[in-house]
Amino acid sequence: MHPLVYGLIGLMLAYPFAEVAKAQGEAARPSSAVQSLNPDTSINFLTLYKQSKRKGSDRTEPDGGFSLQEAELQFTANVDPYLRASILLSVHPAEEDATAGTASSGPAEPEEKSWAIEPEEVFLETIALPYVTIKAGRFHTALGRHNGLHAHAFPFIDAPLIHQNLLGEEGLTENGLSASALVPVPWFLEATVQAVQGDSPALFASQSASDGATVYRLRNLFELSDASTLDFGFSAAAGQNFYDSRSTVEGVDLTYKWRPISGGKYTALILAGEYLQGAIKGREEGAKQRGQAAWIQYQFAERWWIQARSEEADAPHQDSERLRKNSALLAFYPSEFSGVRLQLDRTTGGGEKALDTVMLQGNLSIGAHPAHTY
Amino acid sequence: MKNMKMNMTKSLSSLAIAYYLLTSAQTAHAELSVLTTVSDLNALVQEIGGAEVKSESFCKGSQDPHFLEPKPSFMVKANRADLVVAIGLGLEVGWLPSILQGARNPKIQTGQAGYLEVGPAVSVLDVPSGKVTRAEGDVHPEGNPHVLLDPIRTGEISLVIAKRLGELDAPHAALFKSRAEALQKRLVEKSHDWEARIAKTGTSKIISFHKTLTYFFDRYKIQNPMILEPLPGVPPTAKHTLDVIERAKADKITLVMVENFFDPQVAVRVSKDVPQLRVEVVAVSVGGSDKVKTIDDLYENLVLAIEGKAKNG
Repeated sequence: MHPLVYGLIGLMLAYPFAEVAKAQGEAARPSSAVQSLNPDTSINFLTLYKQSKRKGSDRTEPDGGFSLQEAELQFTANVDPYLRASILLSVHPAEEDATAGTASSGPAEPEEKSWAIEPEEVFLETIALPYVTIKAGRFHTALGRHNGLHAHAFPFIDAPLIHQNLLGEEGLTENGLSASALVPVPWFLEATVQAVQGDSPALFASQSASDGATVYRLRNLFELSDASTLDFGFSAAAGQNFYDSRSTVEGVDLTYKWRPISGGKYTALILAGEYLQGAIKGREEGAKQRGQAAWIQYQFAERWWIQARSEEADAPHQDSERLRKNSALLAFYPSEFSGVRLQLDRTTGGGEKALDTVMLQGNLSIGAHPAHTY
Repeated sequence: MKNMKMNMTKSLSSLAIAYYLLTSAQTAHAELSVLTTVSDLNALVQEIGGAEVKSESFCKGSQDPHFLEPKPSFMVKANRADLVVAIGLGLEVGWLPSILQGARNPKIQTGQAGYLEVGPAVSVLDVPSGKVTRAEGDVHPEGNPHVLLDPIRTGEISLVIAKRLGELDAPHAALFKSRAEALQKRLVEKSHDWEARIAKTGTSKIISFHKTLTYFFDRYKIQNPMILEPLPGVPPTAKHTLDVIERAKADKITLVMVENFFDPQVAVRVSKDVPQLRVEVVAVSVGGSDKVKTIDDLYENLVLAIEGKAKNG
């Protein structure tokens, strides 16, 4: 491992002892009335150090080292009394880079890193309709719970294996129309239907533009007590695929959260699990994939969390052994706006030797106060 | 193009309205349904609204209102509400927007009659005068949001709430107004008593954990020379705690008040080094302790803590 990384881990552990001082001097404040019409602007970025090594190998894997995992530029504002707009641009290493290391055979000419700026989400949604929210544009589809999250809100540094393998690196993000209704029952029941283009190369990408895909989700949340909730959802997606056939995905997710009413600043617990299965008819390899991830997150002090995750997923090559991965994570969030996370993984199966990975991630937000989700 | 959009919006709205009428038929209530962000506001709404209003608070008295989680179950409640009353001034910025958006209730959106922020209606303290940066901690650019800890401002806010309730339920407007005026009058009278009792103790300086009690201290001419948090939202550090100990010794400070949602451990440690220093864990909102059940209890309990007559609980 890079010697600097030991230093960084040491720094992370020393961080809570940091002293803070009051800022000196004050500048004139610009008038804020006009500025308040500007969209709420925030920037989040994830900076990463990653190193992986196969068991028995004396060399580390080619993908890793220091990198900018992602920078997200977010703008939100009410458009008028009826609509709200959200624009989220993502800057990240271009796709070729991610695969270059593994695909190349022998030492090719070193290439300069290339970057991509992508509209991760650009949508408008209604604010003046009762019971329903209509959303139009480009958005993370409602296929399961994890797929709705942005990278900086992932419970672990990486997405579960089944999400990466079945939905692709970026998850299932599509262009289309979404209607999400609050069903009038005593508990929280949200029914979502999304008609999307089906551009996802991993799942759909039909050769005819008139073929689309549909995503359905039902999310239930029960308040077990003032301190705990149980959240469970069912999702499904279906659409025409590249092979002139149909792709379907089904998913179940379950989350239990506990945060005591008194002393809730200092302790909390989350237990969560998600299962996904997909069938891509017509594809020769990896036509059927199933997998699940379960994790626990325990907050043991005001700014500290420990987490563990266990997952399994079908290997991309159908005849090889299933992939299994176990992860452990330590997180320190000095404030709402910054955090450091250290994650250790061991992946086995897939016909390859065990892969050990260590990742250290810095997660920062500046600008408008983030609106949290539950 | 504009017409098309209008038509679409119209047809979508009429669909939604039809749906709304179908689904809300059984749940219609005569009394106004109000949700408040914090428990103190709930206490005010219940007194002013009486039997004509049904009210509930998102945040319990034992929770830190800066960091509530926007549970979807809150969205269900907000979906059926006629009015949401918030403090504003950035207090609920981390969680209320998610609840309002998830509620799918056009009546309670910002700018509508069903949404009221009371903080900006009174004179606000601690408004930063320079450029705000988060190096100063979790600062509120709009000023200190804990306005309800001053009984006089609470009286003014009662009138603001009564006015809005009256706009939403005109037949009862006069009733709401008279109840709010009675509440205000009572708090003004009691405030004279509280002021005299605090003056009698000779307490002029109090240490707190966070800048929660600013308005209370300001009303009763108490200085708040040290805060256990080195910066807003930042937990106490070793060096800062030593500074607090030194200042407490030098200024002969006799009291630390720890707001009920913080851990009193650091205050207890400080008091071990400063012999005359007393630690009181105090409720800073209604429901923050078993004894604080009404808005009057809230101030009474703080005065008792200063007098050294409060029993923690």
